[in-house]
Amino acid sequence: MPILSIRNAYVSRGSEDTAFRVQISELQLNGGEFLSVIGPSGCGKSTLLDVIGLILRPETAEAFDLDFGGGELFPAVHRLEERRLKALRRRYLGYILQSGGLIGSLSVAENILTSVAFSGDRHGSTSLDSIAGTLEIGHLLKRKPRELSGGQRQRVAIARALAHRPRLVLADEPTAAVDHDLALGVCAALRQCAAEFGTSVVMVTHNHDLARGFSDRIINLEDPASSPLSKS
Amino acid sequence: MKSKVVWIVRLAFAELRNEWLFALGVSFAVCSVLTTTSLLWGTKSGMIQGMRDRLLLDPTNRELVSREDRALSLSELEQISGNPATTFLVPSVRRISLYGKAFSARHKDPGIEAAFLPTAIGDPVGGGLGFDPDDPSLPVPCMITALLGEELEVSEGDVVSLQISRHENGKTVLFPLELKIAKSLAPSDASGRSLFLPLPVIERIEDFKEGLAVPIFGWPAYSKSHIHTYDSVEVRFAQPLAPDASRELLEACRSKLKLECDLSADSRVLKMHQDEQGVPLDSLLKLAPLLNKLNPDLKLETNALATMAGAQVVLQSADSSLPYNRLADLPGDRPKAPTGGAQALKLPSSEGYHSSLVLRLGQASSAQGPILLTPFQAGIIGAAKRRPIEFNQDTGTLRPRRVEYPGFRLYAQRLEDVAPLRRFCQELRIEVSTKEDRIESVLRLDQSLGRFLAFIVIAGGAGGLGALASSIYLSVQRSRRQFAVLQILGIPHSTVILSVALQSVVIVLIGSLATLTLFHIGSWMLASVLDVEAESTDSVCSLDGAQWLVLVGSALACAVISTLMSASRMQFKDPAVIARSE
Repeated sequence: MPILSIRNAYVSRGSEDTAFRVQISELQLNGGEFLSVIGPSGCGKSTLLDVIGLILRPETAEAFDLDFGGGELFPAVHRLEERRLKALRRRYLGYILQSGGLIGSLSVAENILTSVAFSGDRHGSTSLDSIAGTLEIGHLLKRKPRELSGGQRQRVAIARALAHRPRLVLADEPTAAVDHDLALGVCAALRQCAAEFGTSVVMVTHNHDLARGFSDRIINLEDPASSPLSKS
Repeated sequence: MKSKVVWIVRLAFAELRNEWLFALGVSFAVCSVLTTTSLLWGTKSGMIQGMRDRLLLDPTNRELVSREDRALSLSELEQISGNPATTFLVPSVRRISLYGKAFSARHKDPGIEAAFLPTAIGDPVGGGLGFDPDDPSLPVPCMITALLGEELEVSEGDVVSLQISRHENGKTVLFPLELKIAKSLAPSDASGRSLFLPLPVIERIEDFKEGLAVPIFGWPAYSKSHIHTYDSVEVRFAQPLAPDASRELLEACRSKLKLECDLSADSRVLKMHQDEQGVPLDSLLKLAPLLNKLNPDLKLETNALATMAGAQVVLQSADSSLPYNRLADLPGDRPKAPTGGAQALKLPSSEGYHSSLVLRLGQASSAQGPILLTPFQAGIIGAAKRRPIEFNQDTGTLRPRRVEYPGFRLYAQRLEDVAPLRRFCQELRIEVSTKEDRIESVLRLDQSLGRFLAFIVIAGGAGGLGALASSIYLSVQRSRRQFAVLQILGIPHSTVILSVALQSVVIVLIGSLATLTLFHIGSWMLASVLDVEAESTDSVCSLDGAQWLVLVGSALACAVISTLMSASRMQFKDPAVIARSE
């Protein structure tokens, strides 16, 4: 059962002179699926991720539907107004940015609870204890992001992305800033938590090994046969 | 909702803690802007405004002081009072102030010499006081100057005793008057050692000093036994004088006593008078032996002379000048005249007014013949030549009313009215002095300094607020990536903006608190430099609550607006690009 369906979506990014336009012909994502998107720089990985993450709105699309089951169906989300898109992002999506994207002034616990506070999830503290235990960051909760290592920052970012129990987590090269061993640990933690919460994951990475090691499915944007993306 | 508010506050304070050095820097910037502006504005409001306020509020600046030598009639005073430029006028019974000794419970001896100034309801100095002599409330209410109050150690509600003196027969006699302090005047209201008393009280003090009785204060009239000067004396002889005796008498009167003398054709009536000083008692005493020698039947005796002389004052007719007893023995506390015939008289005066007086005569008399008067009655008639007599039916007392006043206390409605009112007085041929020169120079100084300081305050304030706005604008721009991350996470833009606005508010408030401290230090230093005493009511540099509200409000508004402007530019179309790129 796909939770995300995109068909013939046209996306434009950048200013008029430097516009980068792509077409997403067909993309579906199943519930609980771990999807990796790989490809070289500039091929449109991040653009695809931003479209899936409701950050970048397609200009047109035949279909852009979200269906989280239990009647939580959102058709043609690209036509929703910005306020509703934000609400969808807060409630159903989680984000892991390249270097964590943590808020420097807040503690680890506060960073994690940010997503809980604004998602409307009333069980945030339970989630905090639970997820901090799973990701082995319970001892870091009072620290500031600047006091953490790269791997710890990414674990905190995973915790923040999952704390409000989203249906879909979008990871934008979560292992770009860490070494191979830590990257393995980060991906393992992400895979484990996503499985535990039944969350789908879309991970953009350069690392083919990591993609192969942890993904249910891989989209290689270099491979025209598997790539849903074409530049227009 | 509550959770969101908590997060707004949490985000704001976390950011302030995290960027405390930067926040402190902006607070100092706010402080430097506000301190400079507040000190300039405070100087404008304190020193300059104080000068202007003193000028405007100090009634002495609106006072017109009489320089006229002549006494002013009631009609002249009414004309001045009726002028629209006049706000207050009260006549005074003397050209210079009336003085007396004041005592208090704490300051009994030797007393303090105080000036008694007339007042009335509506007095610009302290609001004034009223007093109804027909229904007096005692002790008499008064207003006291700060200096006199301090020296007597009295305050509002306390009683001050006065000693009112009068010269009687070469001696000074003292009578007491109790006053209750209705109001203690501020030093700025009036200086010196003065008591402001309702005009009717001042008039009665003056009456008393002139020899009249003031029954409401229990003061008696000058005793009859002390009467010693008469306008004219008429001596009637039982037998016509012999020619030699007549010559001797006239010679004695003219050369020895320097009196004007006329002997009637039948040599039975001698009239004596003296234009300027009147006929003194001692002259009559000197003449008594001669009179007794010339006409044994008269039997004038020294002890009886005063009474007899009084009794022999003759009212010639209703429309001729009236001989009278100069030292009027008035009013009310005298025993009523003996019953008998009565005659109504109209008493003309040189001022043109008339008093009606009913005299009860001790013996039957014809309208054509002479009327014999007691000294008391003669005194009334004498007083009536100068002042109309008021007869109070209820108390059965007679009192001469004042129709002329040698001076006044006069105040113009506004500063701008001083010059027109002065000109009006001059048209009435009443010379007055004013403080117009001082008023004009201070107003000019106020205007010039006001413009200069307003320019500096506006320029400095605008520049400072611009710098504040820029720094806050840039501080928000520093957090572009954080804004982008929060936007990606779906956190409402309003939450982010409110959080940043709250940071700005806290920064400005910290800056304002520091400003308040520095302002007080600065104003104290200014006061020290300019040598203003700490207890002085004059303030070199001061701002009131509303001005602080404007100052801090402007800084707050500036900070919040620049925050909102900056934050509104953070509504990124593509936050992911910002989050990845920085």
